[in-house]
Amino acid sequence: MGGTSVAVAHGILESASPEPKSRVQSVPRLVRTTLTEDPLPEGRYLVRDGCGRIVNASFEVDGETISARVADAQPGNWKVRFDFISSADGHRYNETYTFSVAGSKDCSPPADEEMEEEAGDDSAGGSGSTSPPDESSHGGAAGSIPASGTTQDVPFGPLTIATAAVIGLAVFGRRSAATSK
Amino acid sequence: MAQEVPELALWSARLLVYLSIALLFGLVPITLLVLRPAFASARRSGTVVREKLLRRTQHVVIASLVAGASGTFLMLLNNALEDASLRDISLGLGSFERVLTTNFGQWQALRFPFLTALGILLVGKIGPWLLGGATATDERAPRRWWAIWILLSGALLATVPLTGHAGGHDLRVPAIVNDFCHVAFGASWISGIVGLSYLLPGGWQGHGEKTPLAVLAPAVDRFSHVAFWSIAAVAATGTINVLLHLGGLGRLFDTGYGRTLLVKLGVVACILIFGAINHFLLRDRLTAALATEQPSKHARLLRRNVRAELILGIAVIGATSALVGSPPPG
Repeated sequence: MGGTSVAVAHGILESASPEPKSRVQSVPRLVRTTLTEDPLPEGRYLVRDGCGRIVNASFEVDGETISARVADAQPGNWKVRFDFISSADGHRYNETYTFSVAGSKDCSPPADEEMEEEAGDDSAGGSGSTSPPDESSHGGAAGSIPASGTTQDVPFGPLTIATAAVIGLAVFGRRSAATSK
Repeated sequence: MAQEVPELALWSARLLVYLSIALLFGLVPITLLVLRPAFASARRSGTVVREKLLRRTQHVVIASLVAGASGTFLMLLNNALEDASLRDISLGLGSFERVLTTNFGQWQALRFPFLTALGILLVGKIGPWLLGGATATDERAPRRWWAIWILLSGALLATVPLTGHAGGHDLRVPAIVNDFCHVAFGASWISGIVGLSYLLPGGWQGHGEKTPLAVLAPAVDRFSHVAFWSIAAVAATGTINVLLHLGGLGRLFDTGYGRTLLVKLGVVACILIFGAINHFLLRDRLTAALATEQPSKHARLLRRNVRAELILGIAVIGATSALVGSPPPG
């Protein structure tokens, strides 16, 4: 059975359901991955079934946990890949782990999923999902993240004020007159 | 698709940034607790040593400002490249903007104004003010100059725990406070080592001075005490860091983070050995040599030890840079 296939840039897997390297008896309806640090909501989370097809239309980030609901899927060796940036220190989480699902699989491809199959496992391309992110739950379309726009604004005002304050403080200190002993 | 900054370059950038920030902060306690009193006790001796020290300190400050800014830019660039890579887009202003929406991006970006402000405050003023008040004829630097230096460099130092693992810990405030104390005492220690090994070059030979070792002997004596308490504080706060981030001593051996930490602890143990030799064997002999106004062979041995400590100290910061770049298992 597939081990925890790790392609680590940074980050670590805290726990997962189903567990890495485990074998479950039926196709899971929910796949959940918990990391050791909170990920930023935008990122990638791809769940592939025994046929290698991406089976999550979207994912949700709640604290340290990423979860995805699974639609139609086939047994076999499943692979979960996540690629996120830590909201705490900017490190990138980029790992893959596997588990297996008991049963025989039917991998005849539905016509509308052909594009998904073209996306390689390590491709940054994403799922081809058309589902929009669920903004209220910090969700994102599986694998696919917006190429523009930010989730929040850069606080240019406070940063500018802080910059002006520290520069002004330094000028004030430099202009101090020396005192005779 | 955007490329990432190579891990080695990123590690080097972190090392440079941490060393720079440590020096900009640590020079304050080392000057006030070690260098200025040492020059005061040397009285008329130490003029040549003093000139060299002021010149070299100015160079260290400028180098730290430049290295700190360059390293910080590289770290921000890496964050922006990771953002672009994650989105399959070319690197652009949008990626930098997204980095600046995060806590770590904002704290890292704030290093630029802190470094600029320290440059305005210090460059050109080190010469007249750093040792001001050491002798009766000196003009003393204004207290607010020192206060602002402490404030700005302390704020700069605080960006280290705020952008590290402490910033993402469940016990965020205690973790950040503890990590701040850890790096502050570590900064004082490494700055003292840099002070003895690089800033006091003439102090070792006493060239051109009436009394050899007039500055070095009291400087070593005073630094010995500062180093003892600094290392004790670093050890205490470091132990708390291990408990906070590692989640148990067992993980020292079975995780990459733990093994890197073991390497760091091994290097620290070597530093302690050198420190103990200096403190218990060489310090008193150097003071005795000063009393007889004779050059001392122990000064050469001490200098070798301090240089070794400097190399080991940089290795500790290197190990810290690696720890920051890897995830804590706890």
